[in-house]
Formats: sequence, C-alpha cells, structure tokens
Amino acid sequence: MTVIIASAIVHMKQAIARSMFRYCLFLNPLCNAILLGLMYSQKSNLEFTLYAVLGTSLSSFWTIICFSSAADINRERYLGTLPILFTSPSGFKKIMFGKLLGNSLWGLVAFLLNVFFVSLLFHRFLAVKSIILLIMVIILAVLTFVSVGMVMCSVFTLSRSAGLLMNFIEYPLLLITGMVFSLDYIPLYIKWFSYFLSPTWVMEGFKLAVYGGDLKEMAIVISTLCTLTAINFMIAYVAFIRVEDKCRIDATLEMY
Amino acid sequence: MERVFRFYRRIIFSYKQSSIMSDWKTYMLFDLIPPILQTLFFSMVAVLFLSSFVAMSFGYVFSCFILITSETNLVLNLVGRLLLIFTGANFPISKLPSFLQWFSNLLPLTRSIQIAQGLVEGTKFSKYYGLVYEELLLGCSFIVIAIFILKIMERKSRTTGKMEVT
Repeated sequence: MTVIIASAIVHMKQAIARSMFRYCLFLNPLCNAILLGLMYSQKSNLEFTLYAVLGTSLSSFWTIICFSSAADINRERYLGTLPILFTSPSGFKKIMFGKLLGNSLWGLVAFLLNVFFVSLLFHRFLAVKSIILLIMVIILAVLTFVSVGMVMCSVFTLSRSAGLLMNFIEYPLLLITGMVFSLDYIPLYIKWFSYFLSPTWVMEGFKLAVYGGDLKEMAIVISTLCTLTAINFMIAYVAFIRVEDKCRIDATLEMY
Repeated sequence: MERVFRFYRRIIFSYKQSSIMSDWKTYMLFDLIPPILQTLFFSMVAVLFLSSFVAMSFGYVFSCFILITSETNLVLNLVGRLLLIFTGANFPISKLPSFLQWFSNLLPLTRSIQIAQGLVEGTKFSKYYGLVYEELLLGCSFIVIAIFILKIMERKSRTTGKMEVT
C-alpha cells in the first residue's frame, strides 16, 4: 500500500510539472465546457446537465487517463527508467497502479473543474434527481478508469507506437460511449460493442442520477459497472504477467 | 464588384461572338465547366481546396512560433480547440457573444464552414463568391504575416539559441 501511495504522490507531482498535463487539467476542461455548453445551451436543464456538465467532465477525465497512461510508459521508456521500474523490488504492477491512481485523482480534479466552469459560464447548475447515485458513480468512475488505464498500460509496455495509439483511441471512445451525445444516434452493432466498455455504464449511471430511475435499474447499472471494472483489473493482471514474460524474452523495454 | 463582373461578362460575350461556335475550347470553357462546377460534389471539392489553402496559411503562421517554443503539442491542441469553438464547426457562431463573433471572422475555416453548410442546404456555389474571395484574401494575409513573423522568429531563435531545446 505504501508503494502505491508513494508512487501516486510522486507521479502527481511529476505530472503537474509538465505544461501539457497542465493544459489537460485546466485548459482542456475550460474548452470542453465552452464547446459542449454552447452546443447544448438550447436544451432542457436535464439534457444540459447530462451532456454539457457530466458528459464533458467525463470526457476531460478520459483525456487525462488516455494521454497519461500511454504517455507515461512512453516517457519512462524515453528516459530509460522503464527497465528500472520493471525490475524494481516493489513490483512493476504496484508502481503502475500507483501512477494510474495519481492520474485518476488528477482526472477527478479535471472533472470537478469542468463542472465548475460550466456552472460559472452558463449559470446552469447540476439538475440531478439522485445526488447519492451521482457520487457513487463518480467514485466507481475513478476505479473503472484506473482499471482501463491498467489495461492500456500493459498494452503500451509492449508497443512502441503509444503516441499514435493514444491519439487513435481518444475520440472513438468519446463517441461510442455516449459521453457527448446519446447512444441512440449510433448504429445498433456499435451500440452492442459500447455496452462492453465501462465508461458507457458510467454515462448510464449519470443518466439515472439525472433523470431518476427505480432501484432495480440503479442496481443493474452499479453491478454491471463493478463487474466490468473487476474484469478490466483481471485482464490487466493477466496481461501484465504475460507482458513481463514477453519483455524478458524480447528485451525491447529500452528500445525507443 | 458588379462593374467588374459586367466587364468580364462582356469579354466572355465578345469572345463567344468572335469565335466559331463549334470550337471545343469555347464549349469547354464557357458552356460545360461552369454548370459542372455548380454541382454539389465539385462545389464541395472547391470548398475543400479553399479550406485547405487557408488552413495551410494559418499553419504557416503557427509553424513560425515553433522556432522559439518547445511546447508544440500544447500550442497545437489549444489552437485546435479554439478553432472548434470559434469557427462554427459544432454550433452556429451566432451563439457566441457579439464581441467574440468578430474574432471568428479573423479565423480560417469560418467562411469555408459557412459555405459548406449553405451548399448542403441547397444554396448554389455562385451565391458564395464573396465569402470565397474573403477566405482567399485571409489566406494570403496569413502568408504575408507569416513571412514577417518567420524573419523575426529566426532572429529570435538565433539570439536565444532555443532551436534545439526539446
């Protein structure tokens, strides 16, 4: 636990020192707030809250997770510290988990900043039916993004095209998980795929928190989100074990 | 502007009068190409070229700043977002506060997006010649500005020695 917390704290300090991360943390939420706020300015309070406040905040969160998870591995590789982390006695998985926890906490800050910017610029506040469900979903969102980040990190440890991949996955996931518009607009076969992704269920949770729903619906969303998060963690765990073996065989950790 | 158009119309008319009507060049130039150019596909291709030109010119201005800053990704991401907000790509410019609407007119792609939206709604390309000229003028202005900025930035990068700093 000490390793994870120490890794998270060090990573948070390192991250905020970078100008690009400061952009992701402060300017990106501001731009997202203006863009989505103006797009949904004519809509009802509930729709505005769902997409312009919560959806755009989640997209800022996702941008931080997506860029940091991929770029961190790439940066460590570039600096030549990836093999040192890899062979550290504390364990590569624990250190990476700490880093992703740090990223997710910054992502949560971006999320809250986004809510603040939308409220400040458009004078429209959170119109939610169930604030408890909203808080629960936000906490689960942090955990699920850590799990998604872990899966991405394990993949990016092997790949040397992290920069390309992280740019490639950012926008499609924003579109197919319903963060910026309703899933009703996308084709059915893509919609099926969307439901295998945990951010889609975070948005479903937000929808229930905003529009309201019965306990059964809430239980389904929460349990699905927990299950998908657990599956992601398991995939990440197995992937990390496989990647550790493969990295030892191929010896490509220092190749940039 | 109407006088200029009238002048060119007279030239075309006199050229057609003086040439043989079966002349294929005359046919191609004045009878075949203009109607084709008015079709949606070719109009959109023309808008694409126009927007590419003005975006390239704008990119030229920004490439000058890369000589003195190492924050390339930061600048590009920020400018990308600003263009999304201010060019009317995702929502009409009329939603912006009035003091920001004039800023949209100084940005590339604002007019190209306006033309493309109009074409999709069924308006003819010929109705947008004014906007096309404005966009071309804006693109040329960016190039002229970039040439001056490049000279200044070259001098600055030599004095500060930041060109190789990452």
